[in-house]
Amino acid sequence: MTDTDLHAIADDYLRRVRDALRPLPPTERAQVLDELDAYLRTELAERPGMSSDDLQQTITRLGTPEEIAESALPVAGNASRPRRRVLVTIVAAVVAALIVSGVALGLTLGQSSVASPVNPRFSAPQQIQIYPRQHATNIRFLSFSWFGINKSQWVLRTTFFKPGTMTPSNGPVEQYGPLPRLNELELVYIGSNGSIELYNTAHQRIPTPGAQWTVVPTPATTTTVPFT
Amino acid sequence: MDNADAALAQLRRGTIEFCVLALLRDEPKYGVEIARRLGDADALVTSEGTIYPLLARLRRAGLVASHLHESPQGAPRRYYELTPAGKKSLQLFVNRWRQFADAVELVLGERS
Repeated sequence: MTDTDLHAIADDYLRRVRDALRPLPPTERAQVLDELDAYLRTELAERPGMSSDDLQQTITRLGTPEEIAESALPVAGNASRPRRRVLVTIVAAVVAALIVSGVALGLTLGQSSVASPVNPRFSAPQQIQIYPRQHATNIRFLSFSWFGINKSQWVLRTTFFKPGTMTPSNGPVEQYGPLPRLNELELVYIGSNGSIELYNTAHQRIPTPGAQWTVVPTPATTTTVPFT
Repeated sequence: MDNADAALAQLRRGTIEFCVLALLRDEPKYGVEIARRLGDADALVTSEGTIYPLLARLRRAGLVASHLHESPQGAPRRYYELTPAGKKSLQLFVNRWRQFADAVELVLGERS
């Protein structure tokens, strides 16, 4: 097998990792890919005469794209955002409020477009309580009657993934109902990974940048973590 | 995966970032070096590639900083080093981990 063939195998692996890491911010994704690329190039350089089987073993040692993507998810309470990110979050929340106001205005004008949200992701088994604190402004804003949206009714769409992967295991599941308390959702999901999206009653997806979700490991203490 | 495996997987996931910080305690290291060191310790990582998203996350959290340095072997290497916040975080974890590990070992009867 030629060096070209080996590099093609490495490139194919990196391409699959890049696809799996799509939810990551671009700079972070680029850094991870650069490192994996450096790892593979180092192996190829240090082991002249490497066979395709050898390279596959190296790739196996690195892990599947799904494993690497899974490891990109934050652990509750660990490596939280630095304080300077809070300002960015606040700015994002303000921008989100402006976007939501635009969406609401769009509703009144009969338009259906909506900004893409940042979706909270969770890994289980965990109890998850979602506190859209930064999002509260948006909720209050949307509750104004002249937008014709009832704040007591929300649609929560959850997507579950196959264990250990980022592949949806079923279609989105929707739940309807009032918020148990103002600006809070309390949910319990056990035994799966997934994502959560919040919609209003007009089925417009509501952006939730800066929202926080609380992970409650059973039965231990509560830790609030930001999501990305 | 039985309960013990699941518990160890969670424990590994929660502690691995501090192991990375500990590896950087004495001197900066580059990515491949970190991955190989952790890969050599079988119980710590199941896949060496999972270290890289973790490094990116640590950098985003301000616990490590990274710099590109020229390498005699070829392309520049990205070296990682602890920030003051990373050192503090590591020290806090080390203190708490020792208490935790001692308590667990005591209860499990590993000591007499």
